[in-house]
Amino acid sequence: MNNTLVKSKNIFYPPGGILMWIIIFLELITFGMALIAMVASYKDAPELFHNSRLQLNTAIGTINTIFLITSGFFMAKSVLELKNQNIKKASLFLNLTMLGGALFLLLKSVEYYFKIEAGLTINHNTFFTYYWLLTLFHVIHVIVGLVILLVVSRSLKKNTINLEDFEASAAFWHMCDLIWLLLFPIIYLIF
Amino acid sequence: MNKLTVTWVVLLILSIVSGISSTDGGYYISVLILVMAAIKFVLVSFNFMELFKAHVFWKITIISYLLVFSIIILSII
Repeated sequence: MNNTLVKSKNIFYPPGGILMWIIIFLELITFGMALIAMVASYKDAPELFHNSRLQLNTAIGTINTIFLITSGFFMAKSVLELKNQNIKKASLFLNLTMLGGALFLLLKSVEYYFKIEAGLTINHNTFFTYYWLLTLFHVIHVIVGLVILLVVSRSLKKNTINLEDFEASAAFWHMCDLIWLLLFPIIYLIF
Repeated sequence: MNKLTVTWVVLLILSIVSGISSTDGGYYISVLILVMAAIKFVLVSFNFMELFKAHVFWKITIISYLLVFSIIILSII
């Protein structure tokens, strides 16, 4: 394993790499603009947004936040262990990270099932159009993140991964956290 | 407890408090929820993503993004 320490204080080498951070900012700007559009739409129909928001399950949203935050915590621990050359612990924490992501997807699927059963589909009203588009787009990121972590996990077991690639994968996973931290309060809590 | 664990515990507390705060509504509750979300965003980016180690450019960029986003949301709501 090549775990050459990267000089993070250099402007061209943020933790995870400059390309990953460009992607992170593009994603944050995209989701940010969509959320601003959602809040602007709320001003046109505050009652509809309030009544629709009450049909969401805040407990599920909060538990999912806890899953993602805990998953992110294990990811950060995994990076730390890899830097300390402790491959076994890094692998264990990486598996726990993926478990957190899988639990998030499982609970999200349950939430989606009940919404579809209740007829609250993408065409139901403006609020649910935003709800489905934003949360599904986020779910796609989580699935892509899990696939990346699976590949990284295999490389870690074979001891063929370098620290820079591992940090880039971690940065992508944390990006899913960051996006959810913006989506959760606006979609589930404030209207 | 190390820094990562403290960050994780703070994030959990803020998430649970946010979840409970939603039942009421009102402008100030919304502001409080958004402030807690902003704190969580900073904690994840600086401590989990190790942005605290990065060049000041990246720190300023992420904080600027968060400020612009929060100001726009708060001015509309």
